[in-house]
Amino acid sequence: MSYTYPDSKRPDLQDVYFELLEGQSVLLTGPSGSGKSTLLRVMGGLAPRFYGGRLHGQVKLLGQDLDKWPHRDLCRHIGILFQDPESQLVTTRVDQELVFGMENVGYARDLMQDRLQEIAAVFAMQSWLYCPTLHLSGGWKQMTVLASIMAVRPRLLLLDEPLSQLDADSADQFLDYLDQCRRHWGMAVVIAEHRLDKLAKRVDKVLYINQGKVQAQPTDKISWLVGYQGTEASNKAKRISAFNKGQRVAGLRSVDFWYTHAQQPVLKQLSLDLQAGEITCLMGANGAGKTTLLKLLLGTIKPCRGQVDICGENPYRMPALQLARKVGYLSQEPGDYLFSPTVRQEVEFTYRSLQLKDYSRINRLLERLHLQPLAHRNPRDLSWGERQRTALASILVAQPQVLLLDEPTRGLDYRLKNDLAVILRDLANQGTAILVATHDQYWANTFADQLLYLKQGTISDTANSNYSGEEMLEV
Amino acid sequence: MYQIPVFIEKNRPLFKLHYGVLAAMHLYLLVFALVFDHPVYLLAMLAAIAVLMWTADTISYWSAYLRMSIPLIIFIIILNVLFSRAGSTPIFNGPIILFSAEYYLPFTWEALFYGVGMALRLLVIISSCASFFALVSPAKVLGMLSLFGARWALTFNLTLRLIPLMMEEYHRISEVQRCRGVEWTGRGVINRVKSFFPVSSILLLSSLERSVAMAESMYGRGFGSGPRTSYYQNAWQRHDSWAALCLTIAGVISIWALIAGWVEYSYYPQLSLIRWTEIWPALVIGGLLVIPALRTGGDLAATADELTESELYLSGQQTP
Repeated sequence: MSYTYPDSKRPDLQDVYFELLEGQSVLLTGPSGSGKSTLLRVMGGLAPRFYGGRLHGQVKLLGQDLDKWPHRDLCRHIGILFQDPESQLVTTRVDQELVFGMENVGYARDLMQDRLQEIAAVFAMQSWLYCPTLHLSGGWKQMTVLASIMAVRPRLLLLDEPLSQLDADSADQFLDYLDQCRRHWGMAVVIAEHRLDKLAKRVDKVLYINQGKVQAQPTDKISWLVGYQGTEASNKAKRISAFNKGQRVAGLRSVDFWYTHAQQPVLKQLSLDLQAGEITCLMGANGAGKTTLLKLLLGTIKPCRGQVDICGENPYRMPALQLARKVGYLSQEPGDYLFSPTVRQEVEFTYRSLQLKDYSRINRLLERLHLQPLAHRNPRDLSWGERQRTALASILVAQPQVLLLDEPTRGLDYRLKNDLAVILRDLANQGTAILVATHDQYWANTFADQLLYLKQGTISDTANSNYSGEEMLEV
Repeated sequence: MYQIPVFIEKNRPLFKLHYGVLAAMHLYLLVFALVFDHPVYLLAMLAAIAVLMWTADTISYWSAYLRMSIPLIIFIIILNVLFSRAGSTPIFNGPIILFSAEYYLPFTWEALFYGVGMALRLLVIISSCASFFALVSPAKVLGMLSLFGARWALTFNLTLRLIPLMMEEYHRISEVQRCRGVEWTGRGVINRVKSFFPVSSILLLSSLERSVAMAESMYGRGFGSGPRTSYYQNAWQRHDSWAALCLTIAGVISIWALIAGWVEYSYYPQLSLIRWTEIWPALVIGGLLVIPALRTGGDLAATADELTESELYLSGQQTP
């Protein structure tokens, strides 16, 4: 099978051939932009039906060509879960979301009632079945969409980076539910994912995709991939720092913080120092308060008790022009930064806003972040990793003394994660204090100077990263 | 910190009413808020809505709407006082001395009361919308709109879901842009408008991207593959008949008062007198509208002190 998107000049998938058996679980892996999502869309009947484009060859489900299946029957047999759960939730309450798919494919009310109870039991959702979807965490949103798809009970389940927003425990729980569904209903599952360590022991088959071409790999190859690439990152990013560490540039002192609607404080008596030239990784479960801590340092929220300072000043009271020169913040969504017609103009916007003088800084920065060849492209047309680098460039042009990054590895493959680690190490070597909130323990271990664990509102444990990628894998 | 009003189903009589009755009641409020001129009639409607919201324990939901409408209400009153010249009773009788010259201000009590009357009308309209969205769950609205077509229903539901989401996005983008030197406070109106440009552009672009992702997901989940079935059904019960009867009587009295000319009120050139013989229907209408909210017993009795599952969750007694 080969497939070409309407705007593409060459095939996005080429000469793909593989078979899936009932109950089989398959991991689809490969670099960002290699065609994983496209393959899932073709298998799910969305391409070319929804996207247009040209398909050559055959894609069959239960022995029948996919294009001969009526839309309704196809949706009863194939379920697709995409990366961002927010864009998949259609209704305002969990129970409504669970029946949404069943209503669409015309199930009878009695059947829907039975399925709703069954799926709520399998996913242990009874206690939050009537919650507004607006109030769910990212992990629970993901679970709700999966449960909604499972309620239709498809024969084939396609998952596009389902673990990207989940912490380690939530990811394990999600995969446990998935195994449970497979055991219950015997469906085939295809998972496109970068977090290979989580899936190594759970899949029957691995498909490696690169530049639109698929190769089958033995499952033990995953361990090799993870171990090798982790070591590579470690070697590049863990260079001995050229900067003399020790100078405190920002921090929190005995900070309490709670949201108005919450019963318990998010942060309790939390203290933290950020030092120049040091990379600190902040880890913790979904909802532990990592983003809240970053926002306190950014000055967008005010602590209920305690003090926050950036270079000795309160960030909450700092004017934006002054703040931008001291703190850079890269959020989980690089799209939140991008609106200019070209990458260069995007960086220039910050430059103009801050009335900076040294224009050559822009060129140096584009060069350093490998954005020079993309300087005249629209940032919204770029891949996730390229968008992220553009957003990073748009804040680094201000040369902030403190850099805060929120889940920067989301959606990045191992190669891009390595690149990011190297860039962050370069910045640290120039004296920038870096705080990274991440779920990616494996990645954090490969390059952080300091690992902090946020649990129940406090930093529960501090440990220097002293074990390698291979050891992590064994753990 | 901004608060997004969210529908929470509660164990109160109004939440048990059929969505058809609730829709008719709010349609009545909306239409007659536009028809009635008399401030006492408008006040009676506003008081009825206040009682409805209080008995349904949705005052906080209503107050969120009121907070949003206060600037507009103040603007209407001030505008009317400043520019209306039809009144005859000046607020200030004497001259005002400015730079050694005497000025007579043209502001009148009639213009002020007309502004208050218009603000009252707007308040009733906004409050009736708030009451409707506080009392009718999006699922019921979805069911109601399904009568006109599934696509209409879904569009409405998506709007309900995406508005709070967009508000969250707006705040997130504003925070992010602050790190690029985009200032929201001080520096004058022009600079603030300039600052709004990147945020609104990003919001628009992100919304367009999200709409494609959502359309893809909905297509993948079978939306548009043929006629939909509906899981949620709302059966007509006896208390719905009583509520419908009260509403019908209120409607008949309103039309009667309209034909008799009792609902009219003239502000200019002088405020007309308020006669008891003309305003008694307003009190009856207000009373009839709140009767369905005062029901006790039946399906409410067994669980009178229990919270619904949504309430439990939001009160923190039950968390996912």
